[in-house]
Amino acid sequence: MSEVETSVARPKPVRVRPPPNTSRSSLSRMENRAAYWFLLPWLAGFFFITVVPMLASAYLSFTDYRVLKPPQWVGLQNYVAMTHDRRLFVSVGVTLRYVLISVPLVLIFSLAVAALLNRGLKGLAIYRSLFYVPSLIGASVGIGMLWREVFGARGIFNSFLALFGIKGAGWMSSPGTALYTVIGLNVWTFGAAMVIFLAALRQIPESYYEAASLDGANALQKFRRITLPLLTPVIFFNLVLNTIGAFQSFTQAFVVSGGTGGPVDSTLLYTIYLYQRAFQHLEMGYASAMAWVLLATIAAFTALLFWSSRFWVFYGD
Amino acid sequence: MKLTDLNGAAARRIAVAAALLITTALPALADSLGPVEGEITFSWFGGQSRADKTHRIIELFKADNPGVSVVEQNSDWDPYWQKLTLQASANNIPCTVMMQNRWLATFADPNILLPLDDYVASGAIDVKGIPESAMNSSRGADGHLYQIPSSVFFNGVIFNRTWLEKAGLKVPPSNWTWDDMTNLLEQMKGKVPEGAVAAHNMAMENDMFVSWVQSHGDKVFDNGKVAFSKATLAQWFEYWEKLRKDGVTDTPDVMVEENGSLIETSDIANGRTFMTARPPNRLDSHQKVIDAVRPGEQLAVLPAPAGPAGGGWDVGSNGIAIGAHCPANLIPASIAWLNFFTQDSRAAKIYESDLGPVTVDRLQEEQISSPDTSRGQKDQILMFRQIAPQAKPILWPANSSGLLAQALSRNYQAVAFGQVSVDEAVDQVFADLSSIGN
Repeated sequence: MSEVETSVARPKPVRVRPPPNTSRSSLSRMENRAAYWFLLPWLAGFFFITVVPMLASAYLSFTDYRVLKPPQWVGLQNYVAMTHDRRLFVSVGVTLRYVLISVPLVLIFSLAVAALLNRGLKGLAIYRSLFYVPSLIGASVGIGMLWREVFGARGIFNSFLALFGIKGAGWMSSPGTALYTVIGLNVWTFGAAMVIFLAALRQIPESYYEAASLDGANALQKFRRITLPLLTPVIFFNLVLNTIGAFQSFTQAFVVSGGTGGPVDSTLLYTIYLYQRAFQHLEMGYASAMAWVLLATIAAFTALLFWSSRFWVFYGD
Repeated sequence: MKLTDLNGAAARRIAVAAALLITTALPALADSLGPVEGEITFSWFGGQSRADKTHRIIELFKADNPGVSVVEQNSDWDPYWQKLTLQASANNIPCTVMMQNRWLATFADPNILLPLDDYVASGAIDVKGIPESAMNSSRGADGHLYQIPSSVFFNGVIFNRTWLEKAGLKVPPSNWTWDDMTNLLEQMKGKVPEGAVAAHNMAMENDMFVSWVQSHGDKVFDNGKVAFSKATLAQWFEYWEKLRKDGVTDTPDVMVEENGSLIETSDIANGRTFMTARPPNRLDSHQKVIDAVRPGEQLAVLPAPAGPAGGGWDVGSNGIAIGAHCPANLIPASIAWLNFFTQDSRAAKIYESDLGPVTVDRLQEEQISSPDTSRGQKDQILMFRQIAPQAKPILWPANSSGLLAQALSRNYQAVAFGQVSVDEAVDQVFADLSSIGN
């Protein structure tokens, strides 16, 4: 059947066009213009602080740029050099270990605390705030320094262990424990993920649990069959955010290791090595190439997570 | 035609003309600088004590020069050089900056720092009393003068003299050797207070390492490249490994935690170690902390030990440089500040020899003879005079100081934690330093 026939068989709905209202359309134009004026500071910031530096970084990644001399075009040389850089591979290994351990720990810990707080505790708001505070201050330099003092060879933590006759190590200064101490600091900042989990838990209808109770389900079964499936979109959200954040993690390990990524490169996150090449070795071209590889890696991991979400995330539709 | 091809009379005429040019044109440059006024910035490195002294000197300078205001920029050592690098890359390096010869090769470029030769020749910059050797160490690879040296420094150790005397031992002479150091530390091992060690493990310390290299007859750098041998570095690591395994030094984890730039928390200033590597100009700051923590104990300094080839002391210089992009109307004020900082007796009395012995001989004499000068400042000046004739100043290639420090730290740590052998660590240090001079 042709479109003409269709239009004959089914009368076209008559569109009532509002009478031209010049004052209204000019008002609309004025509103749009005002909106753009209000957006202008953000747009300017986005353009000059994000887009332009990114484009500059993309260009510099193809140059030999030693900061104090003009950049020299070297094509793919920086990217090729990365394939022979021993410390870069060390930093990749450290970063992957950091991401693969800290992200699941943050999710498990924040979900457990959120589930605990969701049990109708008195003073919930106070507990929620208390648990949230570390996520606000955890990435600060001050907390990094405090962490270093607490877990130092002569730190408070070892003094506490000494009360039980245990001789503690230099947790931050031994290659075997330093990364795990930094991971501990990151897990301690679980508050942001916890608040999101808590909000999601409170959205699950109580009737589901009542029905399950009538069917004789115990607490573990209710958690596995009701809570977890309904939380998967939020778990996915937190997983993506925390994974991206963990790949970009810098301040905590930088402060705790005194900017070295030590001892013996045991806390040499990719971002710390990038910083060292940029600001200590003054190799901005190479550091820019590293930054673009990091961006591509994060994008690949995020895409992988989105692809996997179709198998385990339940949207209820 | 060369000057030597000319006959005597012609050569004399040219020489007279050149002398006239220097004596007339260059003073004219000094006179034509313009009024000393405007707002300049002075950027320097160092902790709170140095910041307080510098602030007092700036106040004095402003009182003498009412038309000038000075913006103060102060950073710790590492951030200072990073900030200066970024400022240089953006052509906004401050009008006056603290410089050091170890970093001079990185910044000695007419697009970054102002060549000062003409201002010195014209007399606008006063270099009276500054030794020629210090002036020469302030030149870039192009031969131009890029800083006016205000102080010199050398490598040494700080030790707890009270503990030494309690142990019944004598202070070694300033020409002591590495073997003397081993013997002294071995003797002190059982005689330090409980919880303390005889020495901080200095294998990661740049200053001590270069002294080791030069005192063993090697060069640190030659033609802008690493020049010491792998054997020399291996011996250095083994020297400290033996002391560590003998229980003379701190354990690897404590060694890693020790942060020499934070005097307040350092082991030597808190009575946790008998000896550590520190530039002697920092004796006073350490003494202040130990006065509070362990009253009555005295710290003292010694130069780095000598070796088979004699002393290996690298003498460096700190000075003031002028940013290449400092506006022309602020050059007179910048030069006035530079002259005031390096030559004024009142300024020197406040600053003492905070960054190492002051370069101007007249000011050095004033500090030695003044009853107001602290013991630490006098000690370092006298010690400097002893070692200066045998010093072996190093020409540090661009960015080499930081890279050497990082390579030593990282790779010696790997040895101390038992992750690699000494030979493997030595190979890795050389691989890490391969970019120097490229």
